[in-house]
Amino acid sequence: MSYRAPFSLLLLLSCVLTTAKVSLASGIEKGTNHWAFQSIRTSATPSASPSLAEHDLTLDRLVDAKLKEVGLFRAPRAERRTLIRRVTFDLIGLPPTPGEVEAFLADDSPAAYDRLVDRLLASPQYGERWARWWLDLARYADTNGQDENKVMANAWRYRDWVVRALNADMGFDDFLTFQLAGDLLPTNGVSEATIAERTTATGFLILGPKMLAEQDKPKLMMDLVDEQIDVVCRAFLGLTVSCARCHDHKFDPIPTRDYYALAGIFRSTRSMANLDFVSRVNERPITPHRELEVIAAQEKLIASRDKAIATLTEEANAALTNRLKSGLPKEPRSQYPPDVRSQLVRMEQERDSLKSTLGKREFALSADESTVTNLPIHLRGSHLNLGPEPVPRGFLQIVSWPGAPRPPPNQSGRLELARWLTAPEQPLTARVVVNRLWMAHFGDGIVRTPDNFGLRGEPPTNPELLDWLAREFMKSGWRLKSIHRLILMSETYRQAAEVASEAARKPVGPNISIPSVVDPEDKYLWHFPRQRLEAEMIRDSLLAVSGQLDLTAGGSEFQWKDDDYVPEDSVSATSLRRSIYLPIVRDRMYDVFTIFDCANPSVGTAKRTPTVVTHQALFFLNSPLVKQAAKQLANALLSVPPPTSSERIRYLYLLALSRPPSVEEVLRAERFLVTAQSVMTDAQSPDQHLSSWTALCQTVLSANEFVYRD
Amino acid sequence: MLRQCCAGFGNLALAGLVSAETTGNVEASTGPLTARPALFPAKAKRIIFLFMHGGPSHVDTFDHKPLLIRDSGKPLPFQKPRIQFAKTSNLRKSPWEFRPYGQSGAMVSDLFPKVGACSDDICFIKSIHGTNEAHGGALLKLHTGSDTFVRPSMGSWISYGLGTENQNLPSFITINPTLGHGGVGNWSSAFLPAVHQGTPIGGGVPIDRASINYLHDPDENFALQRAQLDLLDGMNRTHLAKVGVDSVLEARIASFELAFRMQMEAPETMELKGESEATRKLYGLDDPKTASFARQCLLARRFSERGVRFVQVTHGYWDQHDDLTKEHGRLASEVDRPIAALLSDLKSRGLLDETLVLWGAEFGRTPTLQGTDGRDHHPHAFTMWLAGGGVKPGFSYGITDDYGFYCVDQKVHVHDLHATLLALLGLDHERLTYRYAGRDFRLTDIHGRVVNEIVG
Repeated sequence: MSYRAPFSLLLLLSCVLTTAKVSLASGIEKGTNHWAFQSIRTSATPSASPSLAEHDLTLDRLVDAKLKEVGLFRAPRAERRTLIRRVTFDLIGLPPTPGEVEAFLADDSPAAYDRLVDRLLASPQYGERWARWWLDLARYADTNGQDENKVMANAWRYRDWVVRALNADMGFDDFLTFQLAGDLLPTNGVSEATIAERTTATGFLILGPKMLAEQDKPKLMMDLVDEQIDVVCRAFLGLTVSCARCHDHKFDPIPTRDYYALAGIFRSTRSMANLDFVSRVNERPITPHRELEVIAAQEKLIASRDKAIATLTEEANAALTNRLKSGLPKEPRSQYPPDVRSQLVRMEQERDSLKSTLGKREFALSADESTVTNLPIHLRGSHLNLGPEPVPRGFLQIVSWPGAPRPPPNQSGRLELARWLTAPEQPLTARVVVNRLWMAHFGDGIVRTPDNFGLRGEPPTNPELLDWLAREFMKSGWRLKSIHRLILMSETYRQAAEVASEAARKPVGPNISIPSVVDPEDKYLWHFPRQRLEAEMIRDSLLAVSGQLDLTAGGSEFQWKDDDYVPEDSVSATSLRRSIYLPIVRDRMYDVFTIFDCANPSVGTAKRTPTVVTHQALFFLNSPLVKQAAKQLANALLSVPPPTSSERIRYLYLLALSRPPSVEEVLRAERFLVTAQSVMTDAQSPDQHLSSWTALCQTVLSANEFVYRD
Repeated sequence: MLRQCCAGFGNLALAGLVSAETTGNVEASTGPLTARPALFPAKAKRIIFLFMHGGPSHVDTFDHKPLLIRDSGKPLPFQKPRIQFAKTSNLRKSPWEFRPYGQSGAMVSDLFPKVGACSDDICFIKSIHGTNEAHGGALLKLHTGSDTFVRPSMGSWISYGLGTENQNLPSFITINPTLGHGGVGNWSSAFLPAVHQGTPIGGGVPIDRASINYLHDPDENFALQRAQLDLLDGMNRTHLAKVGVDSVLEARIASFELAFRMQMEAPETMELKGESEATRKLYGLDDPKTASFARQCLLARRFSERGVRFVQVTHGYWDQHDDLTKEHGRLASEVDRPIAALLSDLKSRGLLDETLVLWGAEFGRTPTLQGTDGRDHHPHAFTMWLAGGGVKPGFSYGITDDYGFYCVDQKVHVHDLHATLLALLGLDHERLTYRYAGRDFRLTDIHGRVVNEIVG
């Protein structure tokens, strides 16, 4: 009952077996000329010296060189208030407090900005904001999604590991290796805690959505492998390798053979605990041995207490039956002798207190090794039409060099895959990562197709800059924070977002171009690109400025058990914790996040596409989240001095927008308060004073200035 | 790539949504929801999809099989599929009688007497087949064309291809959608711009209380909201004047006015009080058994009338692994009258010609028995039907074997159905593409054949 016509199968067969070989060989050769597959250039660019001043000089010099080519100039520096708001959102995903703004403005030393950046990079909230950046790519979720939406109650351990790793500025090479092959690293002399962390990191491979009720289990396994190839290659290589599942990649030099070389690695990896009717994903215990021993001892103790209680109960029952001669009554205990009763109570209390302190055996989603297998090419992607011979496991032919790592015969090859991805010869990984960091700060990458560095992707707008950053990244030990610092210290980053309408329209001199005509997309960064806050930042900011945000770190907000079918997400709408800690229920994402373009948690996402849609306006007009934030904020403003309305309005602006209002803005707000009271009825608003301030706060929280960072 | 601002409901998304990869996609030069002419003359302007979640049995509804009655109790005389959801036993005849209707003489079971009476307006396709035997996969396949990857829903593709005719309402609405079996995945725009995602109304709540999220001001003070919008507009314009040129900020300013207008128009559309007594009766609003689905069908008509491009209505749960006789009976009695009413109402308003009504589910059910009174999932052959919107009325296409187990001729895969739906709307399934991650995607992937034989 195949839907596919047999003719096309035959055609494909012949294609794969004969012509393919020839055309592919030439295809790969052609691909080697593509910029992304060539080694990262050392070029004439001076490498950064330890001094910060030197660093930003290099970055700015590279950006300025491009600007000069097209006849543009960098914008002047942004105001300091703007700058602290920008960099605070960028690094910790929250607005600065009025106190932080004042302190920064008051610090007139030249190192004030350096100190600000350092403080933010060291903040525990840094990891919470940047974990989201990574979790988009890792398609993180707490449930399976797709058909059987089951709870993965241990997924949060992976998420928390990401937060910790980023806060600790773990080298990205280790960060990558742990996720792909943490379980395969040598364990000699390594603490159990570290081994548990590495095990947890491999959850990356397991988190993906799967058709757990797929009854064609071989298909389920190959779909799973496909999902893993897709997420790994997108996240680390910026390539869409999955295209090659069914046919040679149409645009990139990735033959089907390469796909199945990679597929063999993941097919040799254990991702599922079983293949039951509704299959179950793989987990591994992470509780340290010493704790396991304690637990076992405790359990033994509890069991012995249980036994003693049972014995005593039996004896007492026997005695009671003997005494009553009418069989055992319904509630026998009430008729035991008082000393037996109290002894039982004491024993039970003891046992219960033991139980309450009993440790738990913890598990984490994790990969394991399975039987090492080389897979044949699956013709047209079908596991029912296999090619004649197995393809040896391996990586992409287009990115290979003498002495490159290879999968060993006795292991899946995940560890070697990680080594290949982080080798100094590897041209893609470092470029892909620094490009995404750049994108997170500037809204767009140097390569504007962040998950497609292939032939159909866009070329870098500034190749020298990309390569310089990639080299600096590797030289720093793959430290993300060192790249943040390079970017944030630059004048390019510190320039204003404003596009003076004059400058945008009128040429200033004979050789000066009109920026909005030459570069309307701001590819070359002649001004800082204004960006809308991400969904999580919008929610967190609403909670933060209204004083409601709960900064408790880590742990699970999920009340459901592993493998439960997912009920409604009843947590997100009421939780006051940072968005990163809300459960992610696939296919039922919290609507506040979907309205503001969060990543679909079923696919790895490098770039969210910000939209402006009516539903977002409805959210600000009518949602309980905004209404509640406005009310809390109004309460806070009214409950403390300063007492005059103009001072309150001033504080509202400082809290919400990080700046004081102009005289005109104060007057306008005061006029609004009067109007608001005049249109309220007693029935609707028993406290008209509070209600009118609430309405004012809601309006300020809805302003463009609140949701965009300049 | 153009960074440009557009007007209209949800229409404010940046054209092409600021992704360089979207160059060449259809909306690069217009607003994402601006009504666009079709690629070639369209038979239909919009679609109403009556989705029967769970999978009603084709051999108990529209695919009449006399030999199934004769051979009931005997084993299936040929091989069952390689993959089955669960074990089934021998052939099992339908508990319901079939009778001919109208001039076309279509044989319809007693589960659907009123729909049967509309047979002369209906085009049955009895040879639909899919590829997935589990609900989740089959739902996603039917809605998005893929049971493996995250892909845009067909409603999203159609919104993307044609825009919409009423800028104050969403272009794609799904009423009472199922939250399981792919959930949002069934109405998501995936990599298409977010404006094209389905707007859910209800789902998990009684339909008379269902609404669009955040549509209603809980404080119900329009005058206050007006004052807020005026203040907001002032604040935003002051800000804009300070920062210079920014079409995105301008678009966001406009979005609040549009939201305010939508707050007026959408509730008015969802208010059924204005419907005549005759119409209420026709749909069965007055009967507790049919009231819920009647309301959904009426909403579908009202949204369609106002130009919404794609309206889906979901009913369920037709998953009778057991208790088929009772439960199929109950479920059919809830939808038979409202569906027939929708067809005749659309017809009398002159809307049926340009509105394509699609009825069907993720799969049918096995002609063989499961348990004592059940049938299992069956993606290998099942019936869907179309009405209005340029299809041949009183027509039947596709042939299954003697027992309705496999398709034997005129097969129509789910991809072919998608291709045909797009064709009826004047779109070419091979040319309606979206560039994402370096490749042009289609609703039909690399498949799809337009079933021209059913086009009137």
